[in-house]
Amino acid sequence: MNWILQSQGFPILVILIPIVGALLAFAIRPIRRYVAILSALATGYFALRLFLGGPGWIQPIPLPEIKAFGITVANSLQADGLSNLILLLISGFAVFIFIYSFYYKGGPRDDWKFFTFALLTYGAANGVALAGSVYVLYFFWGVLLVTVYGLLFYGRGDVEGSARKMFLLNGVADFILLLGLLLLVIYTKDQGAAGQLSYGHAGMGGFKLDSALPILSFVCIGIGALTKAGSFPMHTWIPKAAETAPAQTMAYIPASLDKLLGIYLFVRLCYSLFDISSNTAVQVIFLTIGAVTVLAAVFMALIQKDAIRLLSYHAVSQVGYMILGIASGTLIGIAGGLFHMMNHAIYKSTLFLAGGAVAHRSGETDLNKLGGLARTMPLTFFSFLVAALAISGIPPLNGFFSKWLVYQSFVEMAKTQPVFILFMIAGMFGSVLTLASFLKLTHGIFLGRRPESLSKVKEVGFTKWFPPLVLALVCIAFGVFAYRLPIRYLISPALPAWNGLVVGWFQPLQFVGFIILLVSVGFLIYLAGRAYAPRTRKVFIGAEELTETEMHYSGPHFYSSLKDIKLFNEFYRFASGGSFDIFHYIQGIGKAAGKTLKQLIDETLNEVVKFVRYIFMQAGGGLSRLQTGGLQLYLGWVFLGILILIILLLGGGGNA
Amino acid sequence: MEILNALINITDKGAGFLHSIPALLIAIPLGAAFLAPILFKLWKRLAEIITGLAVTACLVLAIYLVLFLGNTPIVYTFSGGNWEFIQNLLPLGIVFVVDKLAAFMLLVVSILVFFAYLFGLKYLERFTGLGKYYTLYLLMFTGMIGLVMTGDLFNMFVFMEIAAISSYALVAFGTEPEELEAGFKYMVMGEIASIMILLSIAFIYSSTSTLNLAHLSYAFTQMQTQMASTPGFRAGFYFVLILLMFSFSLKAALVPFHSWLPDAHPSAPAPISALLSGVFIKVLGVYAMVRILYNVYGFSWESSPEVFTALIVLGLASIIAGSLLALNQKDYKRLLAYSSISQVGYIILGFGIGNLFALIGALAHILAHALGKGLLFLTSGSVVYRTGERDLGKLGGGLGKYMPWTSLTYNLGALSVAGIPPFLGFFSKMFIILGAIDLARVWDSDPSKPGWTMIAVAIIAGLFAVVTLGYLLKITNQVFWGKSEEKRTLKESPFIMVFAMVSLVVLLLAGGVAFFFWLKPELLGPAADVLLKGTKYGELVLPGLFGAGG
Repeated sequence: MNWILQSQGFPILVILIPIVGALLAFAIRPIRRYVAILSALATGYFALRLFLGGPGWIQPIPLPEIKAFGITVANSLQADGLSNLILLLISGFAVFIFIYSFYYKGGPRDDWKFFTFALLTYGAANGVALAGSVYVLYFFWGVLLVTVYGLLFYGRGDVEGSARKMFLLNGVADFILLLGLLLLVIYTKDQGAAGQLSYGHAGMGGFKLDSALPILSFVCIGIGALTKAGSFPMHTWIPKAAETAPAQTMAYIPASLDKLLGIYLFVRLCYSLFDISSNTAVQVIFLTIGAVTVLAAVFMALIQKDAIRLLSYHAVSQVGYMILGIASGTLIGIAGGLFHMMNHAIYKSTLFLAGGAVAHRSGETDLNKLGGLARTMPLTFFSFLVAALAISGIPPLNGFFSKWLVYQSFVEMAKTQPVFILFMIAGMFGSVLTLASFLKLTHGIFLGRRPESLSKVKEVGFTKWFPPLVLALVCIAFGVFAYRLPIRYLISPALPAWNGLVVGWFQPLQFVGFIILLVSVGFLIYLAGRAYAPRTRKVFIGAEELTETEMHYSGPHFYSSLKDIKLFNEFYRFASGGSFDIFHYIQGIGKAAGKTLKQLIDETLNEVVKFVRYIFMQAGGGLSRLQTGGLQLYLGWVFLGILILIILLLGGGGNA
Repeated sequence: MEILNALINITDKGAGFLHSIPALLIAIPLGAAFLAPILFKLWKRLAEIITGLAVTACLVLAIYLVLFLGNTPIVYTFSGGNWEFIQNLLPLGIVFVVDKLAAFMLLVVSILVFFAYLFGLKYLERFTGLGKYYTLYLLMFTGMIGLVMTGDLFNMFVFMEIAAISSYALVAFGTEPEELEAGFKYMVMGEIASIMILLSIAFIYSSTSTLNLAHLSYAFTQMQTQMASTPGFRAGFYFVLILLMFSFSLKAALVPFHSWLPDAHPSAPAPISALLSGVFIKVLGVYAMVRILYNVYGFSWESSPEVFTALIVLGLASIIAGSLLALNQKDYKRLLAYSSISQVGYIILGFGIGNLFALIGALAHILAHALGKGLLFLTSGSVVYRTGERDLGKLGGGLGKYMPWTSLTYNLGALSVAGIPPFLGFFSKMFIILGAIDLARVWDSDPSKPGWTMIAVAIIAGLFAVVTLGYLLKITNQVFWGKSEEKRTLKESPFIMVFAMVSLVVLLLAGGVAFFFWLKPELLGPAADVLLKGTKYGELVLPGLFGAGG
């Protein structure tokens, strides 16, 4: 058994440790929190060793072969550069999430469900990242479906509904994925080793999409991968889950793990398995999915009033950038997509965790009832602000840099096909809208006047402010030292073919210098302004003093008043000029588009789900009515059955 | 031990222990069945003890058979009454044949009978007349064992009746009005099927002058050539076949012959429900039908596609109707009963597809469903034992807090039945679906056969696996999870009941883990091979006859 503790056994350990941890956490409830953190740390250690060892350090671990359709598939666990990166990221997030969930007083009692299922999910996710062949991948993928289903049962309210919704959408997508994987096995049967996940590993050596079989396989696997990543239009379970699940679940599953795994499979698909740029039609379809995902979800985010729900729509929107980058098929785009995946997981976890901290202290996620918490929760505010700026793509934070790489790929492609520049414009427009919605969110929670009801809110404890703060600092570090840290040490090893060259010019360090200069000037002006201290006066109307509540004006409330504005007024304001009015105008369009899309997509999907359920229940009900309990009717059924047998056996004419 | 040795000496002269196992497997439970009520008069516990000994002995023998049976089947001839058995040539006397398939079925039956017995020890405390219960229990066991091992069509009927009549009584064992009604309906329907089997046996005997299965397979091979020339003969041949298929379908509760099952299975005490759904319908219906269609008639897709089409249609109808009906149920055990109809549909579908994948899948599903559905019925027993309630609406949720082991075993069992890895149920369904896809691949090269229909079958089978999970999770949500409104003073069921349930879960998990390492190569593959060999069965049992005949 010694070999398992040596390097060759590490891939097995990173799968087994969380699963054993889950069993321990389930069996011995009192120690569940310690077990979770310890197993995450242990797993993280082995994941780090694997990553530092680099690709090729570990020989693939053979598993039993599976033979189907006369095609033998050699199964294995393997750790190459891409797998190692994903493993490291999964473990990193798991550690933070478990620290964050260590104390959750006042939460639902049955948090063993969270720890057990989160650990199981963790192990299965590592399995997905290490899978060397399609069957192993699908095995762990299927386990994930169940463990996430279980995980969603932890929470408040209609947990059953959100779990069912997730299960239905992902179940269908998994089925499509299986179809794609089997088609891949059939397609690769002449390639020496069928059903592997790393053909053409040295670079862009994937199969050409030149006939029906590979195209169908690509599209099916793509649908499976993008659904896992939470792309449009299969995203609808995420906002629903946000209503019932606690913040750590949201930060763990839709914000981190699902993105990592879905995008991981998509990169494998576009980078190792197939060459997406060999078929422009398929490429444009996937790029359009990406662009629509960016825009549609951000429009919907604009009209949300609940903080967690708003964030969950952004978890959808940001996937669009990753799809755009990876589906561009250029190395720089794939690097950008991967980097964005990593960045997104970092800042979206920060946002969910910081938002969760606010919800934890105030018991409130409705933006209309929040406000003015910046002073009392400074650390949370700082983390939230940094992550909000990062997600909006403000330089020099990490979100900007990864989007920058994605845009670079379109600049490169536009040299041959100018129409591709449209996707870049869609992405940039999405960034602007993201910033708009985060202005609203940050203002709604942290700025403005603090309502009376929140007067007793304090900063959260160490375990609650520490993980988001560290993640926020990582956001800054990965932006400022983008070339030196993440690109060199994380992205490049995962993409051995990429030379790390970035076409456009952007030097983060110089930019930071510029920013610091501007901030200093601003500070000087502020100091100068202090010289004229404002006078304080009592406010009254008609000799009646106003209470705090009457003067309270929440940020989102201000936004919601826009609903009443007639379209005519919009045009009038727009015509009268002023940047703020254009902003309103965009908001108006956003709201209309968001509402329409919500009606079209969410409601339609909901109706489809209801319809299928209705059909099934009605069919079952109809059949039930035939089960009257009367023996005569039963005998009638029997003779009908004999009639069917006679028709089947004699009617066909047989062979004779 | 002396009795055992004496038995061995009487029944089989000098052919070794392995060859006398068939006789022991019949003699032990049959003997114990008649001892049980007598011992019950002396001391109540003695009936339990003698049943336990018999059941354990049979399980050990079945495991021994599975481990040590070679590739040639054991042919055991009971030749009392001065019958002469002309060695390997003419079958006079009663023949038992144990090949790999029979050994597999014996193992499945014995395992579930053993654990249902353990569960029943505590569960049945509130019932009266336990002496009779154990007699009926052992008789049902004897019937199933005999049916699996027999090499004779009439004996098959006799053992089927032994098992069936015991089961009629066991369904009505609670003697509440509903239970008596369910038992009566079950008996009427079951006996219609039995009489049809008897009728078809009469037809067969009149035209072939033999009832030995091996000899019959030889006779039917001869008949195939006659059939082509005489059209009237063909109609008669198919008439008998339809009678047999109908009767076995009714015993297996395939749609539309299923109507007795949802009344009968929930009415029985929980260990009996587990046995009825877990192994009874599979032995009496599926195993008997498959053995006759494959090994006696020797059908294959090439020779008689219509038979296999009929199996696939019956299987799909059962899968679809059973699942849809289960979705609507409000009674714990009734839901599980409908689920059994649907799952037996999968098994029949596998046998209807009929290639190696599907056969392995179908056999694995026999095992997986026996363990899984047996387990689910046992959990229903556990819930009823503590709450006295089967109505999902009245159970009110939150039981998982009070009965953690029941809740855990139910959920894991449900995952297996629905086909979620790494449980055994996943592999069985996967192989059935793989079989359909493989058949589609074969058909695709032949323009006269519609390959897409098989793809459609695979898709339906996959889709309804999700529906399976849907209706099984309904119980999870409404009974075990969630919050109960009032405070309850429940506790977990007694240890022996929990032990039986947990053991079944462990077996399901072990089966899944060992599927590719042990189960498939050692157990399922050889058993499926027996079926694929078709009428070679006859040659293996009666080598002399086939050597002489052709």
